Amino acid sequence: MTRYIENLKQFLNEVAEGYRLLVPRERTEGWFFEPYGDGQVQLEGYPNTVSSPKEYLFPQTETLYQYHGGEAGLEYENRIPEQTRQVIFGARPCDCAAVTRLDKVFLEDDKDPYYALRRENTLMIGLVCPGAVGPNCFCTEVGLSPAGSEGMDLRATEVGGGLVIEEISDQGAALFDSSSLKNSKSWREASEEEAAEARRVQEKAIRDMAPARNLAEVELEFDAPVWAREAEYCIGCGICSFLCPTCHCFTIEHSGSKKKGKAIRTWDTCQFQDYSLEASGFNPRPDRVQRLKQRLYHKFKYFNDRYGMLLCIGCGRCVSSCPVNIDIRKILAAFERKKSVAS
Amino acid sequence: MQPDEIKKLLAEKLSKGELRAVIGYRRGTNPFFRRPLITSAPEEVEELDFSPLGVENLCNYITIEVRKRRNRRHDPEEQYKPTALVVRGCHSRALNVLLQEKLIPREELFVVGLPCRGVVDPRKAQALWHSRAENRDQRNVVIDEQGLFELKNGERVQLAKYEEISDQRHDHCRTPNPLSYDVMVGEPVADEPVEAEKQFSDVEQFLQKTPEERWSFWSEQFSRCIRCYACKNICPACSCQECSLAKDTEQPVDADAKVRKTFWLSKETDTADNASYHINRALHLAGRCVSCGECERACPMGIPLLLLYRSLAKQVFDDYHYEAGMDPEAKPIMTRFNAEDREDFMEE
Repeated sequence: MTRYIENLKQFLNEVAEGYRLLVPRERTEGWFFEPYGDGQVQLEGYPNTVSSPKEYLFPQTETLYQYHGGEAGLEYENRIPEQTRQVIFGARPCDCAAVTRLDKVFLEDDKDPYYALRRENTLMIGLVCPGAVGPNCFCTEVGLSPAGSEGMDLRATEVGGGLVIEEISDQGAALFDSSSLKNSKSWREASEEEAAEARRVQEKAIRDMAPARNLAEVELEFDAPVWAREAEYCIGCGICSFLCPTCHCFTIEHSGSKKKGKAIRTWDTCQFQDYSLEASGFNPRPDRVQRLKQRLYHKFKYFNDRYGMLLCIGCGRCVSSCPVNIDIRKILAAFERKKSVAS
Repeated sequence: MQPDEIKKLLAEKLSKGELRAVIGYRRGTNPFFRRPLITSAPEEVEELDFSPLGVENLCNYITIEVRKRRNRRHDPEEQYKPTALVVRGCHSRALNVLLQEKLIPREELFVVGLPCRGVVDPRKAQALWHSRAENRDQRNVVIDEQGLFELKNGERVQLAKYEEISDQRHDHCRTPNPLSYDVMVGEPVADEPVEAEKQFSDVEQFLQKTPEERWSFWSEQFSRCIRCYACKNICPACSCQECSLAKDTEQPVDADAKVRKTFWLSKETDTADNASYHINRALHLAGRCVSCGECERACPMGIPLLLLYRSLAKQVFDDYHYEAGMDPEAKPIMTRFNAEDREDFMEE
């Protein structure tokens, strides 16, 4: 069933009764996903957020296990937390598509129990973009769409001051069976006109963002001069990776004593020198040229070879926040030109 | 000298082999950003851009360049040549700090001074444009000393006044003109800089809060830190090749282990570790931070780092009447002892 929500606040209040609800919210520093808490929600002028919602599925720091010395030796205590069910409301289509990438990594072969538990308990209510919502959006150039439904459980489209909600997954549909929403007046079945209007909004967004090129076709070259040229002014920070909705590398660190301690997992990035440092002291990626190259190769080649999809979803966060204007699109353009000349 | 003359001079010097490279700003990949130009090709010097959008403190690239050169010092082909560097007033203070600390030799620099009437905050301009522009085509964006404009049928339509897009972090600037330079772009700025005694009004205002209020303010700010280390990597005064605060850490559980890696700080992003990182960094910057504001500009989470470092700058100023990087000959304050130094803290 396609539904129409007229009173968004009431709907969210009802969702919040049964779920931990996360919504986009404006702070002085920009927009972030935050717990619904005080019940304020405002979608006007909502661009893509500074950091992506990935932190709610794959937090920057989590404890893997704790140990303490007992009589029989060390005793371990797993710390897979009790996970409350959560709803991420208003995630943009690119951020939802990013979750399908994280699923590939954390769920496909060896299941990561920490991620899996959060993922199973998370519903994504995606929000269609009325056009390019960020200053550096390029989702259509990586084969995605401002109205896509990949990774969503429900897809919301802004129509006439309310939201048209389409069911994408069974779990999404089941949300409306929960006790607080089942007989609620916050939603009703959408009229045919409303559903048609939603389709028009989606089609317009897709038209407005017609891609200038297809970055999936770019063929990177390992020895191209562009790597050294761009890396020369890269400052080697982790902004691009930590704000990226698909970057998922982590490191594990132990702290404590012989008697008592814990293992934690934290985000890590190929842009840091210590990331690729081996126990022998050898570092196969000793400088920024190799590290910058690694990030793009992972996104546009290695991941694609393995899973048949790019690891870049075109949100433009790395471009908007890079303090020295390293632009992933500009680097890729170097290879695009080369290809068209050759063909 | 006029901008065009300077470009010509630098290109000439490069072709004659008198310069190793030129480091400055050039247009970025969207109209809001400038990106560093690092080149030894004379024909690329034409791309140099001296607009108020060129904000980055480029001194770091010199430190890296000099370090690379020193690593090659046994190479007989290696020649000592200066590198041209574009600096604004606060950047020239950073250069002085590096000169004082003997991290770079003056003879390896050819300083192109850029008088500065303040700069644009690129992210702010980008966000304002994005929320106000009718047409989202970035080719129609114009930014100049009057403000932010959108071109509509060839007409300029104002989206924001200059005050709205300017970077207020520089309101306390002590050095609108570079302190030392080999050539200067255009004419020096005539405006009087902020008086030394009045430069810390922002810190003074913050210090009116009680210690508890200040701690709760900073705890909240630090809790949002994602430890991307952009603040330290872009900082000219953070000149260590490897930062102990940012190293991967592994503490051996077995106390008898032969190999012990240094354990300084966990990567855990809780408030305690985040605060340790920032407080450590702040202490290392006492008497060295020149308030160029790069840390705060780079921070993706909008943490007001400048306020933190300026608090220490104020303390150094109050206690020793010393301002970082004002004099290349001065001894760094933390390496200097003076019998008259304040020592009332020992009497308590």
